[in-house]
Amino acid sequence: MRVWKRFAGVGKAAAAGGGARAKRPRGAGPDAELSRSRAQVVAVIVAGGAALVLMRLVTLQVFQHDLYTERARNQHVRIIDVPALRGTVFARDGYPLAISVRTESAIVNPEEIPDPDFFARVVGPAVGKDPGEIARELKRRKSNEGGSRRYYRLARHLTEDARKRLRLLQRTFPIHFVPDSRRDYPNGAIGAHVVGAIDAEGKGNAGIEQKLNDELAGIPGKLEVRAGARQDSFSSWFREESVPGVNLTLSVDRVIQYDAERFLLEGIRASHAESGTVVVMDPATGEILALANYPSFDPRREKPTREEAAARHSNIAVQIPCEPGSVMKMITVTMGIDTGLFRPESVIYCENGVFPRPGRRPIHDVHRYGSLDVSQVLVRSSNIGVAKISLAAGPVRLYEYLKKFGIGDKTGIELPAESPGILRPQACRDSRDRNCWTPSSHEYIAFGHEVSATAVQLARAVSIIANGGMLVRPHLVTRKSRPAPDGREIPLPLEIEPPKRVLRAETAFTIRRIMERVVLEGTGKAAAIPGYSAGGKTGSAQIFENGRWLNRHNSSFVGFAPVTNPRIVVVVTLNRTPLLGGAAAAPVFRKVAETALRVLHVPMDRPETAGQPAPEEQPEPAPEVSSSTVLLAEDLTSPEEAPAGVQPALVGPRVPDFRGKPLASVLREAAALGLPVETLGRGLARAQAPAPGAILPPGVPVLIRFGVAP
Amino acid sequence: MKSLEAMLDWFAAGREAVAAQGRRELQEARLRALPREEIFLYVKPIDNTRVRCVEARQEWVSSAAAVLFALMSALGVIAALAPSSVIWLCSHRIEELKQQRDDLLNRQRIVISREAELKSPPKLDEYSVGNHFVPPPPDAVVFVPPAGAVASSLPGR
Repeated sequence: MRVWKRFAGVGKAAAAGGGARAKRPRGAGPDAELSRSRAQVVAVIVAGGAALVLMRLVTLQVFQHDLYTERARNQHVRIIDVPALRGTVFARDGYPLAISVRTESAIVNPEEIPDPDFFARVVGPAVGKDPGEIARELKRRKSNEGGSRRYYRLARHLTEDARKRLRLLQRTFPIHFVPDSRRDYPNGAIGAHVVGAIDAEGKGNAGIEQKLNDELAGIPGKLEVRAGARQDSFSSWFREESVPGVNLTLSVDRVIQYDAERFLLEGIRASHAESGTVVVMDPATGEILALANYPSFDPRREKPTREEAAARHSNIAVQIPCEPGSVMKMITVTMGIDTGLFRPESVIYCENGVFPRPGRRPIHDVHRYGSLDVSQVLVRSSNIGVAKISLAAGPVRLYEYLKKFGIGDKTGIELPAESPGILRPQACRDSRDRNCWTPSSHEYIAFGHEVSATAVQLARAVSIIANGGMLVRPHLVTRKSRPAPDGREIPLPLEIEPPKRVLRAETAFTIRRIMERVVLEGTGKAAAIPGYSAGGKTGSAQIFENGRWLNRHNSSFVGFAPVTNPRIVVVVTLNRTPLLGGAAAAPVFRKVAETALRVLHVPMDRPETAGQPAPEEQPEPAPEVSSSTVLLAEDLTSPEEAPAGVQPALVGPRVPDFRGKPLASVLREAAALGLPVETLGRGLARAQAPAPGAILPPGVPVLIRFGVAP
Repeated sequence: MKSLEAMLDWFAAGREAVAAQGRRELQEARLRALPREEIFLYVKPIDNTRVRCVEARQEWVSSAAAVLFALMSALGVIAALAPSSVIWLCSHRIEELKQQRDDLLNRQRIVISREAELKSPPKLDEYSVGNHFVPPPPDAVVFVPPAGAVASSLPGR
């Protein structure tokens, strides 16, 4: 202002003196010069200021354009993830085990409610909540004592009636509705460990829901919301539509699953066990028909108890391995027969119940057995018998067969946190390696000590016997599809590992017959199913805890039915029970298998009588032989090291008379006896070598000539 | 009257004379006072007897052109707006149908869930126990119910 006045004064003075200096050219003179110079100064200052402003403008608009654009976008544009509808999990009969439905939740902003008491008294009954609780919560949030000040969820998953009532109240109170979704488990706690559950954020935290969460969850949509300076949205639209989750069809049968859980609970109560598991599997495909655990949980419960929360994360069948005990004898005997070292009729001296091991713990049998043939070793569950088989085969072979049966390897089932079990490496890396087999390990592993396996691993191992020697991958998912917008289902590719042969079919068939005798005359009599033939093996591993052996066992029974063409494999494990496998687990097997066979419409292959069915062919009991005539197994450290000229005495079966029988009968009979045969020609058998009744030396096949030349 | 033409001229003259008389009367301007008002209106009748209807072809063409132009403009506007309007209406309808479809699918899911719950093994077990359904004992002969009958309606329950 002052400058302006001075300039104004100069102007007036110039005007006043204009007359006196009229002849002077305009712009000349000291005043004009002063004025011009001042004007130039001002112009320079203004230009400088303008240049600075311009520079800053260029910096903001050009050089930092992206930065500020991004900042503005962050302030005004919000991208909200809109969750996709979670995929449905179906049982094998097409009924859902887990299904998501869209619901609505009612929310309020506590700051918009002037009188919480009045609000609670009116709205509480409409949503079925205690008005006192609503009022307390609103006041707490309004006074910033906890929770969000601007958000309170009045009710979740509104019913149709509640929504209608709230819509009416919405005219009076600032009630807002937000979309929500609810996960329904129509079968309740049935198959809880298979299906699993989801947490409050909608993520799976157990079972298939957890393992295949990414596929089930789908891809969330992107909602772009434009907001003003006060962050109040004025427009929104979908940038990306959400892609619904994948629908899964499981191999689980609801009825078999229900009965497995029911009978498991009965078995647990009857045997005073603490926990247990039942796995039912199709041995041909590896499909899991039922997987039950105790303790279990209810996936519908949003706030589980501490016990339920623990059970939710403890899938015993998959995550907790335990010593299989005598169940492992099945693998040891299979190894002995498959390698050709033993035959079902091979006789082993069982040391009358105590097998002294120099420098080691002696191996005991529950009963005192003299000599038993190999099949009887399994039927009577002789520890000494299988230890001798293992000694004869050697640790390398035993380890190889354990691996063939999948012990120590994860099965790949679609359930979280699967345990590979415990099988230490057979070979030590160096002399200081403690995590490997000791020189005596294979003797104890032969009857199920120093090794652990999960129930699913055992089911896979038994399946190899049941399906004729093929290793299958246990799996739950049999179909994947993605729902199209028009309601159709688009099938997705599903990779199922093909079965792999790990055992000769003849060996598997032979072991099947022996395991049938376990049920008919051995330790597993309680597992006999009326109307069906069944095979299996009991197992009881005594629990060693805090430096002493407890009177508690991990009792188990693994089996299959029917024997001729097994449709199911059932594994029952009861933990910390005072009873042994034959008394505790076998009855559960019988009940579960009976239900499963009935549900699967498997025709009966035995008369349906309440009593114990008689075996089709009762093999003659193995002759009692003296220990001097039996080659002791410990003398055969491994077959490679067997002394020349020493034949395993009395370890050869007698060759039956094949003459006059057709090729199919000959092969069937030979497979049943575990005899290798070589055939020549076709038609009816005319000649054979060795002759009928002769003892077949190890590794020598029976040569059979048929009537019609090839 | 020498001729018809002369007679017609005579008639025409008469009519002209009457018309001229009327024009004279019409040309007389009069002042008329409005009742109870100090306002006087100067009233002069308008003579339109000499008004002739002349056909202006050029004007007619220009009028027609104007009408046509207006019509075409209107059609143009409609053509420009109609597709987007139709699309807007259709998309609105599609969104509405989508919403309806989602609602129906959701209802279907609820119904499926409810059906599965009712047919779940525990419920069926509960139902069978409540109705004293028992499995037949071993070796029992079970007769197939007659056509149309259901187990619960059979005698002997």
